[in-house]
Amino acid sequence: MSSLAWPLVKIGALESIAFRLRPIMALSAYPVTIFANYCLYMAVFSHRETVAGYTVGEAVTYIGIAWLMRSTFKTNTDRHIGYRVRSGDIALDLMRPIYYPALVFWQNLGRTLSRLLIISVPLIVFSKLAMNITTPRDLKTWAFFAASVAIAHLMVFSIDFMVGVSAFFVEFNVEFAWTIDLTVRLMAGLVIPIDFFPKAFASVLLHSPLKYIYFLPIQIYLGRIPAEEIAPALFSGFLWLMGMLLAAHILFKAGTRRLTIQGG
Amino acid sequence: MTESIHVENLTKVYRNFARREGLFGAIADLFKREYILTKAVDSVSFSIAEGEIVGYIGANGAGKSTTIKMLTGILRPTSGGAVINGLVPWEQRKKHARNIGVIFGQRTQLYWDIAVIETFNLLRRVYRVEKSVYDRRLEELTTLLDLSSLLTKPTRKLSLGQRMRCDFAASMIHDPPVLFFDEPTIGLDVSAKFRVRDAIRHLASDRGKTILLTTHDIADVEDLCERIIIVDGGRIIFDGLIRDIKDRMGRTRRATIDFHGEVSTDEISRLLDGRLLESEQITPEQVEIRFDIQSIKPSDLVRTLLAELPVKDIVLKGPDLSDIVRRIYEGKERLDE
Ligand SMILES: Nc1ncnc2c1ncn2[C@@H]1O[C@H](COP(=O)(O)OP(=O)(O)OP(=O)(O)O)[C@@H](O)[C@H]1O
Ligand SMILES: [Mg+2]
Repeated sequence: MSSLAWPLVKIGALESIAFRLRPIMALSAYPVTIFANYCLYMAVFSHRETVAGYTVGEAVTYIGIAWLMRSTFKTNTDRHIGYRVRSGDIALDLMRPIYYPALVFWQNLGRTLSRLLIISVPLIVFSKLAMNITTPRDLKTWAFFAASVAIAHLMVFSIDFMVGVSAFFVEFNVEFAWTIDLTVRLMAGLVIPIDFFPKAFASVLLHSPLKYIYFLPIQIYLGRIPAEEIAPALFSGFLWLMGMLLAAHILFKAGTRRLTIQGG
Repeated sequence: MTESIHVENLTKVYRNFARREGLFGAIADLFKREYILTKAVDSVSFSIAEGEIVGYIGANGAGKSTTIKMLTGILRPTSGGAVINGLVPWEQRKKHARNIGVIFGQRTQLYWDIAVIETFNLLRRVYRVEKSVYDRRLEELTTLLDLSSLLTKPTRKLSLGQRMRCDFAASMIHDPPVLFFDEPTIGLDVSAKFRVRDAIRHLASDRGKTILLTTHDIADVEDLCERIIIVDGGRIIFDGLIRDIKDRMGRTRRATIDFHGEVSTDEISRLLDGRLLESEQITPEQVEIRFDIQSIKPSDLVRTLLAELPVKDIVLKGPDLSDIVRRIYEGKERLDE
């Protein structure tokens, strides 16, 4: 498999930069979103020092990092798979001697990497200059953050993959993908930090695996989580991730058994 | 001869919902669904020897593509079995994938937005073809299919014929012993068709590939295959040599007659006192007839017509496979008599 990783990553990257306009469009959407959020926080914090324990600097950094992560992760794998199932082109992927989820994963990683370069780097510069987001000082925090981002990335992939594969069962998964995406945005802490929610609701969300996607990595980044709690948190995130990957595998297997290829 | 493909009682039933009409129907469908079952492939059995090339033909919706999808391993049959080079396609999908090359004429396996060569390079890695072997093969395919100017173009910029040639090469990167071609000549112009046929012929005769090919162009199978399988409504209605089918149906002839002035089919029928199988008025001045050479000899027919009617021209046509096949599809000809 490993010998195939690079060629697939390369194809994914090449595909996503095939049209110059595509990354530029995406590039222009994210700063707008981030800037709107920035203004919102500036207004919220105008009469208060802290909200739910966040200073204005932390809150702005939180939202900047969250959208940065999303801009690289969210490669629309769910829609890609759904499209190929509906058109029947999935047949061409399934006739290869490759484990299909792996094929999708590496190509998706290629898209992520090209986005990282084309969208995220300019976005980082933008966030740094326009919003003055903070950066951690010590290497250890960076290392933990990197590990948590890796888990988050794989989680986003498993969810998108499952949503994509749901097209094997229901012919129209676009609405489903949309609903799931909005739910994840909310529950994973992309829209606002989870601890901004009312206590009861927040404590529910803190038990959901979705918090490992945006909330936990950013807590690590901001140093808002005690050092000795980081490793156990990452470990349980890892276990959740394993569960998700397994679920994705099972759903895929079940899907291929009942798949009918559309079209002639 | 060793057997390469063996298919037994292969059956596929599709289950679709019956969508009710109108808004109320659509709402009712949300709650209670009714299913329609379509038997797309119905107890199909055949075997194909190594190195053989077989044409699989049938009218639209006869179940050809469904059969190919099952034989490539991407679709599970409802019942029945198949063994191809020792493997059950849908059970050992990934292993089986290495033994087969596939073209679905209506789709492309090439990445749409990037250069064709990138897909080829990826396929080399996917099938673990050694670099030196790959280079040699690519060169061979480039000459055979005249690809040199196409390789660096993205797929979306290729014409249909160019794309098909590239798809052809893509299915051959790993040099598989068994090939499934589902309508490889669809939408191609005459010369592109010849080129694709040449390539297929080369694969079969010089390289000993086993090929199962579907097409709606009967000239393809006449040109390439000795044996054809005809399917209708999911069932096999003929499996044998093209030569045999021509012999069997070969007693009929077709004649196109042009007249100076208007002549009706009634007039001709009267003249030949009902010894025709069929007659059709093409234009007021042209009539087409079909007859059995045992009830009327072609020479007698021509003589009678020339003597009695203002004939301008007569074209006699022998048994023609596409004609036979069309008549089978239309239910005018039965094979089991
Ligand atoms: N995904 C599907 N779901 C439900 N029914 C299907 C599906 N695919 C094909 N069918 C039905 O199965 C039958 C056989 O279809 P198939 O595509 O195998 O025909 P074909 O011989 O390849 O036809 P053509 O020459 O038009 O390509 C048709 O009646 C078709 O309506
Ligand atoms: Mg078909």
